[in-house]
Amino acid sequence: MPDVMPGQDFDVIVIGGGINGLVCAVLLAQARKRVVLLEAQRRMGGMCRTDEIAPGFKVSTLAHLVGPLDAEVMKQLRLTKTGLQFSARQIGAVALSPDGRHIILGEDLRHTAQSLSAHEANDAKAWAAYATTTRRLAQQLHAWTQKAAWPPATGEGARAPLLANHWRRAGIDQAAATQLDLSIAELLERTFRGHLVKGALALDAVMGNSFAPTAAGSALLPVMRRAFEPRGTNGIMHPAGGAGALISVLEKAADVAGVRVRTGARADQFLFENGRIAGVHLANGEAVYAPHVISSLSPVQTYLKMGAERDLPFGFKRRLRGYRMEGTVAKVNLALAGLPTFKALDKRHLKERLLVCLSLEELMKAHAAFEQGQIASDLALEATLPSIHDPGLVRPGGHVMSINAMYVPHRFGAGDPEAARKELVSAVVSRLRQMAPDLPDMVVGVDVYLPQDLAAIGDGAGCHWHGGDLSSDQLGVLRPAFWGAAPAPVVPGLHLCGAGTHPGGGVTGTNGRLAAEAVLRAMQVGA
Amino acid sequence: MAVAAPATARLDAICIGASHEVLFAASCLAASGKSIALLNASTPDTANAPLAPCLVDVEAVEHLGLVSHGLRFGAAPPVVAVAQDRALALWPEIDATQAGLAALSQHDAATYQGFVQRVSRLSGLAANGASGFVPNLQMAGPGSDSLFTDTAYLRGASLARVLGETFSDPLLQGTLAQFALAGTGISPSLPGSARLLARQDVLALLGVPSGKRHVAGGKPALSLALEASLRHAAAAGLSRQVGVKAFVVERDGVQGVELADGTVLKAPHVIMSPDRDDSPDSQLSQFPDAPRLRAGASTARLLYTVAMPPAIRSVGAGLLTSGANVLLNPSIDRLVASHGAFVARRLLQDFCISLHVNPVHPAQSPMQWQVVVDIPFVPPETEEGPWSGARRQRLVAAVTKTIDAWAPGFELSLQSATLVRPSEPPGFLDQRRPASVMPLSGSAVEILPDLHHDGIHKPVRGLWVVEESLSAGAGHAGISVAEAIGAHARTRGRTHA
Amino acid sequence: MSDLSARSVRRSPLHLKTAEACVSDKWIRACGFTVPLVYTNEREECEALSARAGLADISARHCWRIDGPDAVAFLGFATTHDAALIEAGQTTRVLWCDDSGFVRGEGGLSRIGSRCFELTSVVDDFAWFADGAIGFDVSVSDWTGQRGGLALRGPNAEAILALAGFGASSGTDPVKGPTTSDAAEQGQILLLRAADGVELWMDAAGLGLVWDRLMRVGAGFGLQPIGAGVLSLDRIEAALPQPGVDWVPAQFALRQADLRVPLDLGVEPGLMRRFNGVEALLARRQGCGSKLVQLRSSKPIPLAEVIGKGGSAGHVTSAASSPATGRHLALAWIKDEFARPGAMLARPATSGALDIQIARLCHS
Repeated sequence: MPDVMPGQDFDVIVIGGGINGLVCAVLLAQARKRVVLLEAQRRMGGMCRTDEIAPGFKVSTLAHLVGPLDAEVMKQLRLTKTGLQFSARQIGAVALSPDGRHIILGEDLRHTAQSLSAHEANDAKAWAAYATTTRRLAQQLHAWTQKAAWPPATGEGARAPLLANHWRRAGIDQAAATQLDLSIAELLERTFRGHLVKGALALDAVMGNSFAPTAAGSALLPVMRRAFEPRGTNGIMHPAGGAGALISVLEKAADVAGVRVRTGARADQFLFENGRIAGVHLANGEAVYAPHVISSLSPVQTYLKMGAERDLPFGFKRRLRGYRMEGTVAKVNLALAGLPTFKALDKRHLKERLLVCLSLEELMKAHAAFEQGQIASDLALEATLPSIHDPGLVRPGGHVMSINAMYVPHRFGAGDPEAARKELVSAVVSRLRQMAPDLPDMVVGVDVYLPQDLAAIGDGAGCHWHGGDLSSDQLGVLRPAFWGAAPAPVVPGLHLCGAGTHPGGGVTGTNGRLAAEAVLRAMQVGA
Repeated sequence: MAVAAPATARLDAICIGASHEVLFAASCLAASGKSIALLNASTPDTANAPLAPCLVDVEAVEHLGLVSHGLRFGAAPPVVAVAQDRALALWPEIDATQAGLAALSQHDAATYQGFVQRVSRLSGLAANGASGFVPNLQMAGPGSDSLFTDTAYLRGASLARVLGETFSDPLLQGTLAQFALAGTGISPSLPGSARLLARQDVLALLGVPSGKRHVAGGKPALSLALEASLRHAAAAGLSRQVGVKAFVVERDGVQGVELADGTVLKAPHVIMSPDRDDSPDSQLSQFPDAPRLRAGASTARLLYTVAMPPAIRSVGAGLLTSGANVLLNPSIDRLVASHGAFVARRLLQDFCISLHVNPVHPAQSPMQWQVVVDIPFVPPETEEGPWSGARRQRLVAAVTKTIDAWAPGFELSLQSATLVRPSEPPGFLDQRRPASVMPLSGSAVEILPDLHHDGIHKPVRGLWVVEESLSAGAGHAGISVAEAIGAHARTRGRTHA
Repeated sequence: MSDLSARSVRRSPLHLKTAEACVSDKWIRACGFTVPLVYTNEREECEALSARAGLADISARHCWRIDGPDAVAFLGFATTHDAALIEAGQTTRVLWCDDSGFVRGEGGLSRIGSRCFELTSVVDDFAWFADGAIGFDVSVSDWTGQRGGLALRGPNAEAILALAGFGASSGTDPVKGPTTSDAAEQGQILLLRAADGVELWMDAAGLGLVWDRLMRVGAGFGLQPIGAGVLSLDRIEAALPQPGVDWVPAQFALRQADLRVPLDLGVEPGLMRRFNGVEALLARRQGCGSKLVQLRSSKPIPLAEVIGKGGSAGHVTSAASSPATGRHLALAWIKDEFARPGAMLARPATSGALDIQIARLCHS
């Protein structure tokens, strides 16, 4: 393309057109920076996309829900005004039970209490306390999720708000800090009696991570998710038209802000000048120059696979090697001829996330199989039926089901992906049959993504649902790895804005916003 | 044994079970002149009891005067690891360990002391100034607080990651991992497992001063001293071997127990251990706050009697019989694989073997040695079914063969072999337990032990469940309970919330 | 394998030769190897070194080989010295720093081919280099124990070298310095001229033959084997600090006060060049507040604190007394305000009077 020539054509290059890359690019462009956004695929979106999986059946093929969306991003990008609509908000969860004693885990305490006491009388009371504590802790952690893990080197908050002492200063009491340090398995064992509620809540907490629910510090996860939006005003949402609709709105915002968007432009190498980043070399041989490069790719891909590794401090490089970002989730999308019947489940609850995990033990076994490179017969699932509230996705009468399956190892199906996909679908369908016996007969179309398929769509290095395990050795200033000289970038001019940065994964846009703020600050001081 | 006090007599406390914590509590109460009943406190079978080294709270020992009842402190035994082509020994003296490591890896020998300091900081001892700790500033950077960063990292990371990043020798990595995980059922790849490095026995091995000491002769010796102490307090006459059927629950609290023979004993306090074997644990689940403990049945134990100590490659007989804990080819990868199989209720034949060698009654049979073998990650029951009959024999045979490969001639010198854990499937009586009642230790998953827990659970008024705290040493929990109940407080007061 | 309860002995490749010559049977551990502390007696060895010639086994070091197209780039980033400036057959003293700019190690970097280097050091930091090599087209391999070295020092050293056929001046030089990494692997001898003498590095297998040849030729020149004790004295006389003795590598440091930047060790790397830790050094631009100096006194100097006017001046890290010259020397960290050549210091009053003079600053 003749209009991208060598020279300082841009102030900033953003690599990757997923939500965080887009948010970051728009915010920088709004600050009057000249921004170019490079997306390797033919279209934008990364893990957010809507595809037709069978004639007349559209679904968010990868990430199927969004949120809690960053409030600041919503405001600054005027997303609602640009046409973003949600077909469902405050999506809760239902723990499915084969015998119809489903547990409703939502905002409505009464429903939850009722459904819990069908299993164990004491659990209803326990839930009230559990939900209150989670909300209280989420409020206290809110500020932490909204700011950079590293504050500016000078001025306000120059001391590092590390996870440990940040809690103390945020006024979190000892008991609460102790609770956040527990494993989710232990917290649930202490709190609840019923197997189903423990299994479902544990699955919901560790979803996407490669560790077992017994990992220390995993009790933080439900709190952290909630902490993005402690009041739960919007909660987890489904954009009308699927996740791809959110991207279309962001693309519009990028266009308005003046971001130059290039698709089909795969960045394969960074360019350096005097030890500082100077631009990006594209797979087609072209070079794009800018003094700042922001990557929404994974930390490992960014730092170790694109030429920056030669300028990386050895100690940082060592720690980065231990960064866990192996994919654990497979995605299965089903086109259904009708609405499957879940025994005794009220239709209004079909909009929630349907969790299939009957006990902690089952989840542990699934993890054990995962560690051996296999999938368990009883996979843990998170399923949604978006067509319930978004009928525009499907032809009349039809439905789509979108399913995340855990734990599926990265190397599963390395030899014969096609057979592995078949095995996975049959495992998922037979698992769902326990809950909705008529479901298998309704399947008219199938769409599968193994972790390795997700890796191919993403950057190739890992395919982690959260851009890296959300364990406490990979959070805050330790995400992706402790860098003693922070907040200066490890490689001058090279920044990260993907899920592999603080505050972690999820379709929130917060990572993109924090990166944009950091880069603007760096530009001010001329770094 | 004499008959128990009459059912009508007023008791101050009922102690159930033969665990050390319960015996500590009983001794302490008896010494203070409280009237107690001791149920099911069978004299531990010294030959079959675990002879592994036992760390004891020095204050607790002093309080009960156990030294005058025959308890002796001993040196902390080393941990020895053997691989195909090399071996290493870890001693509580850092320089001795470093000297040995130097032959394997200079880097690891030099890093060792810094590692010990990081672990000591992790354990929190350093924060109290107990070990004159100075922060290792390797991770220091402008404006950063390295102490918090590194401790946060150590608390969140897995053993595999921490050891892999710190040491270069895989044998050393495997040794520390297996020792730190002993008895827990936790995978070394689990985030957070690195905090197990702050266990009291690991600290003792690393030479971090902690106010705990090893008992010479291990737990059997401790039991003998505790019994002597009980006899001294004239409480032995209150001991009875009888099953406990149920708790007596009155006014929202436990007020006593009902025995298998129908007798009812009443007391304002009941103290018990959480062991499955000697307590009415199925009754516990009626209390909403009953402790749900770690599943805790992840380690198999075999006892061998042999005519001579096994001749393990590169481990001399002197070292072996000094109480060293020998690990055969420890490796993190194998631990991870065994753990995966364990969760899936399968058994990996590639055992991670840990063994101790002890003389059997040196006075009576000088030609006999006992080999205590612990194997982590053996499921309490396999997919094929519970551990019984032929399955047990197969397990013993497989383990024997593995040891024989490391110690040629071991099988020939064998006189007997017993599988202590996993135990035989429950007998007839146990099978009649109502199915709806979850056993106490029936937690579905192995949970990372809380190193800071004091080992005392109080699920309901009047009932105390005590277990050994992983950070405080044997005796701490038992004595704390006795004091809470009203035994004479020690000079240095302890508080129990 | 020996019993673990006994200490294991790791032998230098020259062990059979040195054991034969070590009549004192006094040994010391160095870098995991057991080497002679003294062969005959210190006075004799000292005299040989200062008046005639001495031969020492310096195999007790870690030796890593860095080989590959990116060797120059990799070593240039890993160490404080620009590896491109080293010519084949040359050796240079280099330091390497951690991410925070604190010194992790020091060693001799020799170029043995256009894209092949050998780094020898008493600090075991192989994993650091191996891990750091990610992204560079180099292989880093550990040759410790498989390569060995001899140090030939003293006034007669060059003559012995020439007569034995290893001298660069003899014209018949069989190994002026291999130019390819292949040549290095073919058992050739690498001749390294350092400030304090000549070092010969070669594959361990050939070490014994070279030792014999030098000893035979050197007999007429009064050549004697010298042990670790006199080598250490020689080092203190030359004011060369030793890692682990005079300063602590950052990765092993237990106190912040022990951390050193290159400047403290007398090395001023060009901060315009990019190497590991340079950002931190640019931000810091100052040393630890003390300088390493050589001290001289009329009596043996204890490894203890020394005082100057107005209080503590620093502490002694290594000391030696020469039986040949009767001089008492030491290396010490002395605060900047006291660290001037010729300045007088003292021992604390409680330890008895002793006048100590600063002889010189190390590497000044």
